[in-house]
Amino acid sequence: MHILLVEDDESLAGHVAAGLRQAGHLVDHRADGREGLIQATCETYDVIILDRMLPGVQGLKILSALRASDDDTPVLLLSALGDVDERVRGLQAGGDDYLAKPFALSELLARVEVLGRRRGAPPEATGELRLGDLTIDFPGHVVRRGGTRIELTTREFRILSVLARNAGRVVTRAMLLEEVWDYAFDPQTNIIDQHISNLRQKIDRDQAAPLIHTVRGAGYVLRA
Amino acid sequence: MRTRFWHSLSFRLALAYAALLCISMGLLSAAYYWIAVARPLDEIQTRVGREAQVLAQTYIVDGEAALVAALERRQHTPDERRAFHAFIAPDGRLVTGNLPSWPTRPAKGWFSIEADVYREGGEQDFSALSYDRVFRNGARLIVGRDAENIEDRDEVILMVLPWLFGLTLLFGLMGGIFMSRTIGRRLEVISATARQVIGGDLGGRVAIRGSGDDFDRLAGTLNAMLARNQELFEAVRRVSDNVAHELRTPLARLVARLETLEQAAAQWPASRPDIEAALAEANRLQAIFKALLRIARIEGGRHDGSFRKVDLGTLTTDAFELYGPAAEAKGIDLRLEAEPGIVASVDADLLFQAIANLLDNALKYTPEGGMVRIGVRSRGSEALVTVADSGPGLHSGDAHRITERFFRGEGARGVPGEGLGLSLVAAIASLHNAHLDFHETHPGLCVELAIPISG
Repeated sequence: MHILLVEDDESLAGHVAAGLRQAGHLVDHRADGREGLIQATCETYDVIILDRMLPGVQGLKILSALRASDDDTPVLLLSALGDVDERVRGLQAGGDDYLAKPFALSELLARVEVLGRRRGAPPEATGELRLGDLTIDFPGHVVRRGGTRIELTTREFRILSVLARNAGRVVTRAMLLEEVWDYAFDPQTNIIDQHISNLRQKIDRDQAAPLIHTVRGAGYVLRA
Repeated sequence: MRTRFWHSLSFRLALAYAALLCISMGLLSAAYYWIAVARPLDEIQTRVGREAQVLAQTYIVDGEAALVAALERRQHTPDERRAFHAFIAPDGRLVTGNLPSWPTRPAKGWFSIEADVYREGGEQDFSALSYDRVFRNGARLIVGRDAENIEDRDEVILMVLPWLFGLTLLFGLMGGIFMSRTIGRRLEVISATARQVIGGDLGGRVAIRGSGDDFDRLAGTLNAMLARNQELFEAVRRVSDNVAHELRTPLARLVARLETLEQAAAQWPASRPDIEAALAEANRLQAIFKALLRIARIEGGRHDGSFRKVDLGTLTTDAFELYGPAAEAKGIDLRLEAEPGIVASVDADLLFQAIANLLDNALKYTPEGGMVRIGVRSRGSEALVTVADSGPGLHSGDAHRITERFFRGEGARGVPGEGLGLSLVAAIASLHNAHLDFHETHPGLCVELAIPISG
């Protein structure tokens, strides 16, 4: 993917750029808000990573300018103001996702992957999805594995849906919480792990090829 | 309130004030009585005593005729104190006298007797302060002088005195109560401010009337003290916020370096566990700073929260479903008791965070096979969110410190955590004007979050 990174902290930017490049992305980096805005309008990107606090033009201003010119490139906002209202304001201004500093590189990578893909295929998975011998009928809330129907609770179905829509890509615990529970909050423990464990019991139990995989230090991925 | 009044300083002051007033009233009355009654009577008595002595000698030495002549002379000498007498012979016959009556049996000493005089159709009131003396031969001499006006005064004083004391007591009490009420009210203003500050509003100040009196000066001093306290408190908080904030950037870089190292560690597998452990510690530090800053933001009112009407039943159900599997895994019976239709204006994300922290704690401290209940119900104008567990409860003395940052109770040994979870809950509660309460339920602890429901 072609990614624009607008971040003024050189050390952090270097680290993030290196991580993105290592993951196989093409990265352009700008440290100044004005330059970042010019760069974003000059070229087409798959994802823009935007710091909220920038010299020159503020991150949210850049975002508003982009959206005003009908540019709907997915934007991931970065901010040291890791509070909930900041997140809400960022998303209201047209941001697609929000990540509070400090963050783990794996979290950023996972979110960039998901954002980049969201542009290609609409995230609304309508109809049916097949993955190996797993079929998910989204409108009917029916899940089958190898023809056998699996009973899931509403939450389990939603977790599976998020994983399935991003099949092949890492979904972090924080992303699952945001998507399935719709509350922006920090759990003190890895509370989501137990939900995944229950889901695994139902989907992967007695199966030769498990579908839900744990990615150490990052999250989970649904992969055939 | 009523019993408090009887024990109050106000009441005791009022009583003391009334008592002092009565004592001074008593002293004043005694002095007046002495000057207006006792001393004049004493003077008359001395005079009459002397006259009686002289007349007795006249009788003994010069005989009855001389005495009668002396008595006549005395009677007709003009004097502001009219003279009275009666001389009775040993056989009981009245020899001379202008007293209308006298005691039949000799009084042998002092007495006072009515001696009204009828003259020219009018009656004149007199009262004779008299000395009664019986001679060896049986003759009896009564000598007196008028003391009517003084005796009247005595009578009036004795009649008025109870009223005087009664009214003094009444006015004293009323004045005392009024005075102490006034003082009490001004003290109450100071008390109320103190309670406000204790309640967490460090900006509370005592109102100053502007009259420049003692209370205004006291209020000024107290306000200066409160301002200084607030300043110090905020300085400490600012320092800890700044520390957390300033440490965050280098920490982020440290984590970045460690992540780079971790990726490169594929070539040196032996170093991998150390790098991972270092990364985990660095992440923990980051989490602590993040939590600290978050609490500081909420406490400092810098969180312009997005308050909106939220169904608390839905919110608690969501939390219940989030923690259900974790409870099940630990063999804890997690139950939901949500009254439907309770809506309050809250920041849903923050309140969910608070409930999640409470549930997290409850599950952490409740032993296997225990029970945790999450509930929401209405109580008056409040929505009551409760998280109750069957764990060990609080250690005595921990209750008031439990929301302090980094405070971990006696029972927290060996349980993971930084002691920030409840601080965040307290900050969120205070942002919502909600009341956070901890009740021991033996066994277990019930945490109660009372959120006001506004119209």
